[in-house]
Amino acid sequence: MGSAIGRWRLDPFQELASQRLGKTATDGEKMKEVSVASANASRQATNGLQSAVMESFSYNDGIVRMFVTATILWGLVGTLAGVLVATLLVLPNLFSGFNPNITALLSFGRLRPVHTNAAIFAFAGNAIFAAIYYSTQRLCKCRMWSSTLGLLHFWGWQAIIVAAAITLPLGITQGKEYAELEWPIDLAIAVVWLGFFGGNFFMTLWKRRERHMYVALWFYIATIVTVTVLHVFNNLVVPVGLGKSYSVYAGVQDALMQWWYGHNAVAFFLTTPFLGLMYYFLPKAAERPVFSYKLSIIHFWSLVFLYIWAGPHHLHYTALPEWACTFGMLFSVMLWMPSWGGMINGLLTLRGAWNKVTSDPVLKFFVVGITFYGMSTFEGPLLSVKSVNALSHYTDWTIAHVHSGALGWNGFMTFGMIYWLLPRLYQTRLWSKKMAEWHFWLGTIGILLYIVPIYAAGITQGLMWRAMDDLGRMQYPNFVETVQSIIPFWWARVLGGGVYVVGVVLLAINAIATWMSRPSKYEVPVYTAARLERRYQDAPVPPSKLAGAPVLEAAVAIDRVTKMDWHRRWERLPLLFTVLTTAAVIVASLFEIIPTFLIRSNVPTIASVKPYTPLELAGRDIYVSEGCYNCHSQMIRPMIAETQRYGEYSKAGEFVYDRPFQWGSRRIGPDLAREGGRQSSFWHWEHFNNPAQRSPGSVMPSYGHLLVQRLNFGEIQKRIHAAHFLGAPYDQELTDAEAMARTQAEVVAAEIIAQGGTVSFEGKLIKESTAIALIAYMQRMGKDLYRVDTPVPPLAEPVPDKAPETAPMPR
Amino acid sequence: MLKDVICKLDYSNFEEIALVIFGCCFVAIVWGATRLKRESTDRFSSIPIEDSVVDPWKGSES
Repeated sequence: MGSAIGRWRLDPFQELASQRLGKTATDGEKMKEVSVASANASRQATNGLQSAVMESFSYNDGIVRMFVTATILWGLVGTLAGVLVATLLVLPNLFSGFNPNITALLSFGRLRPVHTNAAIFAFAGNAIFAAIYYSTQRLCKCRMWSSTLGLLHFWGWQAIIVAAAITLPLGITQGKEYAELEWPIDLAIAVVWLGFFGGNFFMTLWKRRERHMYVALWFYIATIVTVTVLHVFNNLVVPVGLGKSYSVYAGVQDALMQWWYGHNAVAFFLTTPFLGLMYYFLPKAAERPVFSYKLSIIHFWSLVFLYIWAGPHHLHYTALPEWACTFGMLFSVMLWMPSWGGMINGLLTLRGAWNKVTSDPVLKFFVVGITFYGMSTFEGPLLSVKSVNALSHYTDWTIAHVHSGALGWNGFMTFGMIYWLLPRLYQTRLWSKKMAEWHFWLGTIGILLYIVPIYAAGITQGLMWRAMDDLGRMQYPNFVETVQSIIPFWWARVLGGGVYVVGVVLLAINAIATWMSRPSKYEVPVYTAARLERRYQDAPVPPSKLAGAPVLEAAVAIDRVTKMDWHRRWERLPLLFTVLTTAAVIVASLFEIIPTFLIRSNVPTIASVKPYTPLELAGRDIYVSEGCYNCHSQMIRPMIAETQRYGEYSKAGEFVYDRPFQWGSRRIGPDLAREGGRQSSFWHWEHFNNPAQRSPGSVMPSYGHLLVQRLNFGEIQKRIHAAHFLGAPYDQELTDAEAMARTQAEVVAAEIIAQGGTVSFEGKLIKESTAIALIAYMQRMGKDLYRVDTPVPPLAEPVPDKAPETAPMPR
Repeated sequence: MLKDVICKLDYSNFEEIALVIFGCCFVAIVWGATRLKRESTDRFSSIPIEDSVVDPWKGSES
């Protein structure tokens, strides 16, 4: 930087304007800008606004370039993975010709989390970081506090993504949606997110030269604070090994925590940082200030207050207490207000500039992105209404809703930002504006091609599930029939997703070509501004209108408070502002969490529900590892259509040993909550090997690898100990888990053989296969509710040979 | 002890209490926002598109 100071001084906005006009600013212009800036600072110093100490600084755009590159790369990976998993639904045997061990890595259950994690944490995550690193420096008028922390943040985050991409296909997962990564990676996320990223961000705020914190920074603060809280508390686990852990929460409580996290991950990872992005980059691109700053304040605080309560709407009609669901619905509906306030604020920022939208692809992306924000935030509250949710839940309707937000809002806001940044970061023209236009249209058509059929698929399947004939019986009792009816829509989704990916490829080509036409050496503009005074003298509070009037002193005091000067002070105090945001998030969270955890009546226990046997526990771990929850729910809602199809509705007390809960969020296959005893063990064995043979029309891939992989019986003992540590009342299992598991495996294998199976499969004894454990677990599912333990007759009191010499010690 | 305290609470009213808390906060924020002077909002909203430092009370010095 040192050499650049003397060599190159340029007002960046002049530079940008010059770039737009296609001319280069002269040195004379550059020097003039600097002198203005210096004079400004001097005047500010004399006004007492700034310190008299003048400081020179430049912005760290290198780190922004790195995050933009990573965003494009992971955007490509994430969307391609999406197309792949969408293809697996229509061609479930796409990889069936491979070695079973390879097929295992490429199943829908294992790859779907790769897609979601790549899209959310890799693509959107890197986009957030690019936006924050670029805008925070400009809004604070200072360089990021530490370049080293920035680099640690960048490489740490990429390493986490790579670790996710390796572990998830291997089946190393916590089994909770959007929180699949196992505890060592979770620890790394906490360090990188809060330690490197958060530390760097807050120190930059602390060292800023701009007194007022612009509203985009508020959204960034809320993002960093809330994501930290969500991540830490949802991922509290007891490790069993490097790649396995058990959640400290079980059943209903785990579900509440997970969707408190899941919904707020959408809120504070995919919404608030992108709103910050909107409030910064949209005015920049439109070259006019945000429509209403007042509305942005209301938008911010309303979102922070409301979002955090809304999570339980993901669990309507489940075993979660009804008060919590009502709570979630109520606050979700209220989210309409701020969300649309934000959308209107964004769109009206373009007032008087709509003519630019026709010619500027950046603004095109922003306009459509904000429109999708409005659409998805209208639809979200709609889906949270219980009666609507009864139809939409577990169907593709939710998937369409999520993708209108992800592809439309997050994707398009990111693309708009990248196209705006590319010429500025690489100090050259965008290689092809026409290609950007093509990207815009392909993206728009791709989204529509994706979501419209999937909305239709969701509503179709939801209606088929609940359709009854005149006699009150299910019209479509065969679940597969409802799946088959929507496969044409799934094909359309593959096409839409493919078109969207082509758009991302165009972006990548455009970015590479722009980068290739960069100057041999980047110019580093140097700015001069005064340091902020530590003690800032606020403007005097104007006297109360009631001063001197014949009223109580309290009335005068109230009048002063309502002038809201205190809030203006908050807006320039990062520490206080952060504390207030954190308090808002935590207080709201506790309102839901405390009663669910501490009031026993919320999770009534059922005496007949017992912990899993060692083999069943191992089988459950396989169920989690294979990602079965991505297609199967374990939650029968109290509705006729569900109880007729699946059996008695699920009770909260049935899940007290489920760590993690596996209620799922989508039924690509049927619910499994009462699967135990429904089919023979041999049926399951055959079904794993070739699902379509046992269930014609099924889109489930073959899980043949489970039949040949050997179960690691030696691992079971420590898992039993971990479950016991978390409250499962084990006894003999604590010492004999392996032997008990082997005994039960022999019983299950004998059942299979008796029902038509063979002793060995592909040269391996079936009693040692992983499938046996999974079958043992599946045969247990939902049966405890009906368990009737045969009372054991009391043993006759042994007659002592002689009376005890001493009385037993009281215990 | 905390458990005892919580168990004594009538959580059936939590939705209403939460709504009241939100309502109060919302009214306070809306009130605060409406009390902002036009000059202040103009200054704040110009921060991203201005190169010079903006004073919260006195405005941009450029």
